[in-house]
Amino acid sequence: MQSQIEFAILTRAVSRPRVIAIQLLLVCAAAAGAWRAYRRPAPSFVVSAPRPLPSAPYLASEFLPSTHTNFVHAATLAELPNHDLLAAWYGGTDEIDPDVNIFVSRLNHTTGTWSTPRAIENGRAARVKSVGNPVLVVDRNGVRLFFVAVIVGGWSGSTICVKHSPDGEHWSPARRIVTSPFFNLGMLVRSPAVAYSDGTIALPIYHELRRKWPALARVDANDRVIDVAHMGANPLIQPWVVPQSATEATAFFRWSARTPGVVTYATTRDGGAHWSDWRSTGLVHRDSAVAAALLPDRSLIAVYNDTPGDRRKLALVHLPSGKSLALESDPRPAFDGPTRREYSYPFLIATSDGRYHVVYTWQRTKIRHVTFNAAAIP
Amino acid sequence: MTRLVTLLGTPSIPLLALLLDLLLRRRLFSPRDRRALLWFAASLSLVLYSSTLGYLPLDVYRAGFSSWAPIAFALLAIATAPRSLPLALTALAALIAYDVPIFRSLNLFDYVVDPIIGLVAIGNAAVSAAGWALSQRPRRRDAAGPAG
Repeated sequence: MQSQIEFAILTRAVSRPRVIAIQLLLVCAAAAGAWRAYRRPAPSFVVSAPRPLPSAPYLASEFLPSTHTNFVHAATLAELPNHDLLAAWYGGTDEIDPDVNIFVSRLNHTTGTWSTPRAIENGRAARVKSVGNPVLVVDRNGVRLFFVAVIVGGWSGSTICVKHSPDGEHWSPARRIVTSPFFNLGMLVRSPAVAYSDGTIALPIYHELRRKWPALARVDANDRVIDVAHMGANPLIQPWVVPQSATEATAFFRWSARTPGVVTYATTRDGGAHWSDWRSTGLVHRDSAVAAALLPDRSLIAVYNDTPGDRRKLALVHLPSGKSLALESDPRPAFDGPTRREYSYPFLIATSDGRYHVVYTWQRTKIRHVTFNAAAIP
Repeated sequence: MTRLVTLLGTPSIPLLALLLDLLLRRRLFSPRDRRALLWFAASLSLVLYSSTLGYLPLDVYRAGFSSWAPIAFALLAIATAPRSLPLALTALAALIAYDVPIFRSLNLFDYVVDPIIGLVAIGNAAVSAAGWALSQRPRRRDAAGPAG
């Protein structure tokens, strides 16, 4: 009986007018989809090099207010439209623990004081195991906070989520962005996004499930990914993109291997759609994050752990001259009981007043904030 | 349990079509259609997920964002339509879902395949291949025949 029904459906299915009708509908549906993809503007970076202000060298540092957690890590920073600074980081008992929260604190630019850190995300509403690596993005659509949500296992079982805020104070619930076809797993975020002229953003992401590779995701104002461009291969992760013109940019990568490597970089000439093969900067490090920024004279600065073994040294280096300034240099053992002498995960931004701000993890217990101007760079 | 639902994410249109087929007591697809759909899902999953996990030096997923992806997929469906209208209708449903779009993804691959149908299809292909291999063994013995 069933085979008779199937035969009837098949017989009906191959009738010529129906076939032609379905084929016409397929042509229309394909044309609609192709047109939507085709009409996207070519990617064009918005470049914001800081103004060259004639001033004396300036370098100051402070700790961000404590969250009274056992552990803090991976700070991010963004300048709000009123010139206040917004910082976010995560903290809890330890990485991937269920008690981890993402905290935000705001620096009032008139009083110079940071607000008391406030927990805004712990992943429970999004039904995830833990959260980490917040990245703040401020553009004409408001403030966005991208972060990593661990679904299963460790960091490699993560996905990327986003929260919105009109002002940095009130936040929407988190929602996921789709960056990978495989259960949407394995993708992480850690570096700042770069604005495109059409209102989309270039969000540096990286893959850690099975194999590692860095990529640049183009994300629209509705948090929909409209392109993902590979930027390299294993063991490169955590791309940090510095745009130099509307179409040109340099990306620096973390060498994520057990053996010492070098900070590598790749370049693009088409707004991040395609990337060159990676090359060496000659800066030796091992499996630690890198941050970079553009100087008014179009040269670059990078902040990285300038040591082949651990993260006890953190330096600001000018490229291509190679002159450096030590931000941290601790001769004591890296691990000393519960103390972890690690100065890592630098996040560097330039603000509209011509200054640079870097925040980084200080011994995994505090977030340090260093402010400097171009005159202080060696 | 909630985390499992979170992990599974959104289903592809062919997976929904196969589930509908099950609900309709297998009256939507013929056995030949079902086999064709599963072999298509198995081959696409193998290439797409191998590439995503870094085992292939190709960026297959990116093709799903391009303007030619829906055209290529529609051409395949147009060629399939005279042989199987249910398969062409499934492809049309996937294209319409992508055009709307009904999920958060703007990548055609997320509407055409997903890891669940991929795993089922690869499992089915493996079982079929093993069955075929086993069925060939006595024939080879027969083909050899008695000497002399």
